[in-house]
Amino acid sequence: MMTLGAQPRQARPRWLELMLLVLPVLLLATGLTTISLARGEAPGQREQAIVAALATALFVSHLWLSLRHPHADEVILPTGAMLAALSMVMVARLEPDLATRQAMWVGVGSVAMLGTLTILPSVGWLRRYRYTWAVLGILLVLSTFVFGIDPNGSGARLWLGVGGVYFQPSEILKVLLVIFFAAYLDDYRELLALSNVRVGPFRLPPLPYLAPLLLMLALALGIIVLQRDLGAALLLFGLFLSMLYVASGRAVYVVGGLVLFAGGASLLYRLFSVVKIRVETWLDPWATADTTGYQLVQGLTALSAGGLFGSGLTYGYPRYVPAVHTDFMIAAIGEEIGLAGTLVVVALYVVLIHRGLRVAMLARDSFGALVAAGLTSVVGIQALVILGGTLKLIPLTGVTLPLLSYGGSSVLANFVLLGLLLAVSGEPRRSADAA
Amino acid sequence: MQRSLERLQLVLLSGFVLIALALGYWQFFRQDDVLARATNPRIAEEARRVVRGKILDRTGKVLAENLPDEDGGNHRTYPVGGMAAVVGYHSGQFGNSGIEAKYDEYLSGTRSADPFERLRDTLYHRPTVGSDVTLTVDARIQQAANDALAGRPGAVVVLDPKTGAVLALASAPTFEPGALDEQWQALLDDPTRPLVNRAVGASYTPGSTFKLVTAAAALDLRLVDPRQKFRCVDPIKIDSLTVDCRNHAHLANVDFREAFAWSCNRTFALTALELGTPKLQLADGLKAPFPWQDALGASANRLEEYARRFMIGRPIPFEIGVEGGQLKGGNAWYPSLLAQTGFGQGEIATTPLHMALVAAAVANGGNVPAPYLTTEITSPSGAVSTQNRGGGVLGRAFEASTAQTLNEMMVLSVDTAYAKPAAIANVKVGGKTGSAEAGPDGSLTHSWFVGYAPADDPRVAIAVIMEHRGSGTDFATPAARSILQRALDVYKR
Repeated sequence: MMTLGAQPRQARPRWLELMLLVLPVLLLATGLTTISLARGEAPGQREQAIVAALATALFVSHLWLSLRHPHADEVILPTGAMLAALSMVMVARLEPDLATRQAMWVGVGSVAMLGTLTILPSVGWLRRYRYTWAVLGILLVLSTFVFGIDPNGSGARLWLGVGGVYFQPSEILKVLLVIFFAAYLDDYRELLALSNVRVGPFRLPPLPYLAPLLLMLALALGIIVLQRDLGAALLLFGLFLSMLYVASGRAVYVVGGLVLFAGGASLLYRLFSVVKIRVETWLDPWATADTTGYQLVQGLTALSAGGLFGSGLTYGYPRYVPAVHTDFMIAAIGEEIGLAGTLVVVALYVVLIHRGLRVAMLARDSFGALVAAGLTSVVGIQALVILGGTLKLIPLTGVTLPLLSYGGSSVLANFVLLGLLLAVSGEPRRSADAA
Repeated sequence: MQRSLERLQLVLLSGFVLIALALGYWQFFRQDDVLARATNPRIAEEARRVVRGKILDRTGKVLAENLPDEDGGNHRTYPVGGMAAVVGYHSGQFGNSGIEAKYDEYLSGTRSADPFERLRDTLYHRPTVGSDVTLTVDARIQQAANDALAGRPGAVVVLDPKTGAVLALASAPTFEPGALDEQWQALLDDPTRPLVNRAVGASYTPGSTFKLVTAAAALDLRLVDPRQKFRCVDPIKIDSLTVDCRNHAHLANVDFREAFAWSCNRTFALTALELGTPKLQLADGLKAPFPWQDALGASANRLEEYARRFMIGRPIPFEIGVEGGQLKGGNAWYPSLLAQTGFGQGEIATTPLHMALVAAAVANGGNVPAPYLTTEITSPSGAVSTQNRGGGVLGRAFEASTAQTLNEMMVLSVDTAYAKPAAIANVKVGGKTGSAEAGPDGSLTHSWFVGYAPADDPRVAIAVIMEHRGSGTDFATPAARSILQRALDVYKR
């Protein structure tokens, strides 16, 4: 076996990535041109600047990866860029005043992604500060109790704001918790896989070892639930279960987790009227189509209005859907680009998840594998939570649609997430894979 | 760890398969159902974007069109006042009426003579533009009719007796269709019922104007020599009904034409009663057994037959809904009812349009013209859906020789008798007045006039009714004169 990290990082052209990166730039250019023409204007300087900004950000990222992480996955960046480009098109369509801002955030996100790749000495370095990450994340979220604001009238004070820039700490919390969970679970992986406590016919995991993990989880969940950020809570719990399962390989944790979830959910159903309303709205949104069911009903109506190929950009009425440029972005895509567009979105997430888990499978060590699996789970579960909610498959809880929704902290967190994923995949391989 | 990663992948990807299926469910299978719900704001949005077609008068004058709003929508306007009886209204809240209702599909663009038009609009994302409807009415003649009615309850129908083209269709009081939404409740509560289109949607006792039909039957059946004088002074008594000759108290001896011109009720009561006999006996001195005693059924049948030829009691096919009216109620004929019906009283009720067609048939040599309002429906691309040049007939009411005699009688009425106020200098006018008694007791009679001009080559036929206004001679007849005058000035072919 080769010494870990001994494989040289030799610059190498990443042709596949370069070719694939043409697509998001083309998508953005055609999208913005279509919108301008449909509004009866010629595409102006602003549109050209936005396209140029994305092209530059992607090309620089590509060059940087070729130089510093030549073996990193070549499909992840283009896939994420496709979603980001579609997001920029839709934001330009839905909230023209925010288009420049969203482009700026994609730029900042790219910088953060490259920053992550550059600053990070190695993925393994992250595990040293596992508790720092967890506490930092929880403190950030806790701070919203004191400094939290509600800039867009969503009814929950989930944002921190400085000088007109808003930031949602729970977006960063999920990335920090992935690192913490990965580090912790990796330490106790063997123990978790064993079952040394027996109760009757059941073999139970070594609960005491799990205490710090559960404590962190409980803290994060507790705070989030207190803030009524149910979507984030659902996401964190799902993330925890999936990482626990990956680390231990034992389905009993998942089953136990689901039982716990059922108990917790029924408790919440009794304690919080908001949960009860969400469930009732889910069962029959049309009964309260003017009040609590309004968003869901309008979302479904927008999707139906789009049909197979959509009304065409700017020719639908997606703005009847509340939060259509954030949580309900899929409704706008569905209305104006149709089922064709929404299925492409689904396909992009599938590709991203497939490549993310492939990174986990090929990771140099189990910590890297857990980080990659966790980050991929975050994207997958978050997309499923909000898409499932929008489509009336599960009760609606608000989270952003990863990489598609408008919003600075969401874009930033997701680009950092992509950066970490690329970092894991770019680590020199074990000898067997490196050949 | 590889196996659990594979399992995780399976779970996550299954989730996305479910999402894809749900997308297909809502975007394809449930599409129609979800979009048809009241919760879909797109229905109203699309309707607001539709540029409804114009309604034009025969000269191309715009009677109804949509003007753009500041917010991208548009709204219906009616630039010419007093056209509501024809054009109707178009309201998002209260629906459509008149031509707006009849051609709603074309005006709103859901139907078009050009089948690809809507497809093109959809493909190019252009707002749907409806077809334009061109009418036979002339806004200037309509204006003259409105002026003559002066807002008091009544109606006017003016048409071309040769083609059936309706030149004016006025009903008073009327409403402002552009302000319908605000005034709706007030219009419903108004006891004068401005929303009723009296020209076609209200049935009136026709009074003496109906003598045209009774006379037509007698002449067409050759039961009377119109130039044979008879003494006509004594009132007659039919059951408990007494009918007298007071309308021509200055003339003891009359012929059938003069009895018509002076609107003798006694003569037309007898005519109706005797239609089933071989020869009318109209002169004084009738004694029992009366000629009609055995012929009542046959007489009634004949009057019914001639009334039917003018569709009295039946709706006339027309762009706007026409009331049928009735010749009599549900009871069987009895002598005094038949006698009264002969001079337009009794249980008979008919619309101004029906009576205009009676005059038009005389003017048209015995053919009842099929009335129509629409000449053309033109799609934005210029495709023409409906093209009506007129000339259709509802049927033949009587022979040309009958028409000629009736014409003579109507001209006589205008030249010498009760219809004199309809006379126009240098133009021969034919006409018949009517003063119809229609309850409540003590109220003034409906003032009627039907006629046409010029009598030697008729271009316009007319029916005027003014509710509870007094005699036909004093009100409807001079009103008709001014409308006919205006119509002859502007309606040239």
